[in-house]
Amino acid sequence: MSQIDHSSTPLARPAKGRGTMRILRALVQDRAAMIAACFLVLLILSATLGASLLASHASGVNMAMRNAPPQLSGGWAYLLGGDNLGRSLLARLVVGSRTTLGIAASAVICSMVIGATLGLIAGLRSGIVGDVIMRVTDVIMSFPALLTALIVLYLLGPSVANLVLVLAITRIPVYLRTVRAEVLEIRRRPFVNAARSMGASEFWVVRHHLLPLILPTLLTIASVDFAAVIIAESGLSFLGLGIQPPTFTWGAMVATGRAYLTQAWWVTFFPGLAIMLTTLSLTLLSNWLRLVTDPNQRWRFAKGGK
Amino acid sequence: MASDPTPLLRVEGLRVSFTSDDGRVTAVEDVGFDIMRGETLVILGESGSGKSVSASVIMDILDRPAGRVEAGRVRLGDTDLLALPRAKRRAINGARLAMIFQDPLSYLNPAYSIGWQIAETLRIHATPGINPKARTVELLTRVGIPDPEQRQHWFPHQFSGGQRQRVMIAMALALSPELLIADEPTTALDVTVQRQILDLLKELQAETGMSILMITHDLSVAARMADRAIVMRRGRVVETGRLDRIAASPSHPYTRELLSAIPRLESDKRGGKSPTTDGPPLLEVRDLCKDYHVAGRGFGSARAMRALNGVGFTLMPGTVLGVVGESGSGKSTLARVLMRLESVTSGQALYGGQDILKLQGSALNRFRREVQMVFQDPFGSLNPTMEIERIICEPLALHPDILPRRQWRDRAAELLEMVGLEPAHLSRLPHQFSGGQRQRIAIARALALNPRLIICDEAVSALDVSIQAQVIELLADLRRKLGLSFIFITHDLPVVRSFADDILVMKGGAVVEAGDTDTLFANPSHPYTRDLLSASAIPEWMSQAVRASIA
Repeated sequence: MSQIDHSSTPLARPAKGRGTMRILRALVQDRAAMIAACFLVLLILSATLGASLLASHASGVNMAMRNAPPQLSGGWAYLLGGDNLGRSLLARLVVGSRTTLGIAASAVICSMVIGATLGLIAGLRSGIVGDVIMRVTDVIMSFPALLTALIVLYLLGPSVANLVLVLAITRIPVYLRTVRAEVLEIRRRPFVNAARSMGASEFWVVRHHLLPLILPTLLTIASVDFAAVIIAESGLSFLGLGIQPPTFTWGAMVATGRAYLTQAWWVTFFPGLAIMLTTLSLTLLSNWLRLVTDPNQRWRFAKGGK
Repeated sequence: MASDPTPLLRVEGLRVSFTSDDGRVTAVEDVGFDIMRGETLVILGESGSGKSVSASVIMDILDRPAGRVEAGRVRLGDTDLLALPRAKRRAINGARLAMIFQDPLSYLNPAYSIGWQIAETLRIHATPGINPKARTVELLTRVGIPDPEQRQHWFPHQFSGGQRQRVMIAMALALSPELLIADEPTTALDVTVQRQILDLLKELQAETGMSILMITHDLSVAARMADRAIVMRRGRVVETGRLDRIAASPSHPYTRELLSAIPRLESDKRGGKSPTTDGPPLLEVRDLCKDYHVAGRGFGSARAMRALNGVGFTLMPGTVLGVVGESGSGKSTLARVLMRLESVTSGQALYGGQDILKLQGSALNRFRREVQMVFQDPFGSLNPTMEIERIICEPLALHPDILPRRQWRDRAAELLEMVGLEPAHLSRLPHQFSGGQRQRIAIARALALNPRLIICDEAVSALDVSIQAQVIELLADLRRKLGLSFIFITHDLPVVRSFADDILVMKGGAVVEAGDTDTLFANPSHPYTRDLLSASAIPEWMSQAVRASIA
């Protein structure tokens, strides 16, 4: 039953922040998503501010604290223990978050932009252009991602830029195929035909009718993908193909600690825990975001709904 | 009915609410009705009246937890269904109660053959002495599927819409239920097929003695089927009784409004023949042909499918041409071709002396300003992410030289008022409007560029009857005020009767009959036109009763 109340002021501009406020209110109501969001905010702070503050601590070697266990007595620095060279694990986690998140964010943004653009083209051009794009995607998908990474990084040498490139390439197909599928569906909808019949160009249709509808899906995939990229990067760094010392990521930290797993479990455990919590938070948050932006699921967040 | 005083099904004081954005909304309030054995009860109501919700409570398929039964009782014989645990209700569903739906395609599983799906019901309620395979063939034969031995192995997509509904009926009848609930079973079907399905249901009822609870918004369906009817509005029952009594003396204003659609549909609202203009025709279509190429199977070569076959007509300025046909008749293709959304194979369409099918660049752009389109689906034709203001201003934004930008908002407000909405609605999103209101918005958008011709492709088909009448009223009004011409495409003959000057009846891509509206209705010459007319007509007894009661 759709009833319209006629109470709103005539010609009033809609409040711009209304949608954001609604989402924030829904966030406060959902405890799991709220905790996840807080954790991610903390993580962003640590990657920006924290990493600059603690840079010296993270590289300060202290042989007396070699593989020191987590303790309260040694001050905040050794709260989580020390690594194989006696460096503060907490400081290294904070500094490592900058590289880890930085690489993941660049890779996700690159693959999203490239994937979405190619997906749009493939969806709108069903002829030979679309076919070529789709077949290249099939090739990327049928090649094991790790193998691609190994070959490319071996040939080009491991560096941050190359790592981002490899991670982006292996992730492109997800965006590309999703966007193409959505384009194929949405461009058949009557409102696209309506725009065409009024004389809208292809660009107009993409800008005003396709992108606004595809964007929520894209962002949901991106947040899940962010977690997948962190894990992939950790894997590559673990194999020694990722970031080279003295720079390091959480994945590289796990790799360093592996040799001491029996004597000093905390050296591997805490970076691993950081990876797990980050991916878990992202997954929780993106799942929640998908629900809250879908009008059909919105009743779950309405007052009194259980 | 007097012979067996205990009803088969009794619903009492039913209240159902749903969780929505604004808290809990009551969808059904204090609904009660009885169904006797062997009787057909029709629930008549428009969308949102709560008629489907009531049925889903009986079948325990209410969408939970969004929906919740707050109060009420549903008694089948002596058992209170709502008090039973779910497992017991499942045993009743299918065996004693069965349901058929509006859209059989989405209720049949595409991955299994229809025979398997019918036998599934029989296997779930395993009954000794019934051989699922033999019974399946027997059922398919009964509902009129030709060659059932073979076709039980077919999949849902291999059947036409009408046949799929027959399959659904076979499935529902598998265990000879005492009550069949039919939720808009013929709404998605062509009128001629619609009549066949209704006849089949009546025959089956006579054979098995089952009761039918029929949910519909369509008066002609109700008139064909009902022993008794209840009329629902906004979640409440506003009228109960025998349909002929309701028709003769409606007590609730809403029922009167609903029934008044009948004489309105049958009368001539054009106010006599519109002035015949002597000037040149607005649009002259000659010998239009359109082939689709269907990919052949395997390595076979592509086949051509003719969607339009030599279609031609002349449209004078200020007149309305109704194009009538069932699905697959090519009427929508005609609209898309004229709007230049699709190319043609051959033919001409002269607009102001120019062949619009050959226009390019700026000439095409000029043509697009003068001809606008209103689409069938009011839920799909508006972008759900755009505010109404942006939707209405989209044509102005596409043709920026017509009006300076700062006047767009005023123009949009003016257009909204013209179609009967309020300027305050400008900042809302499409989902905040009902179907009829959305169609008004679509019309406002079509008017933004001051067009001369509007093509309406099934523009009122998705709307409730009373809303349908209002939208046609609006279009007729706009035609008088603005001197617009219309091409009005529909599958529903009575709808165009009140509005069109001339009518084109299409079948299989070709025009089978053309003529002015009065002649065509009074004296249809082609058998197909006669078929269409009789299939969609309201029975004489009903229109007489209604005319008498309203006069």
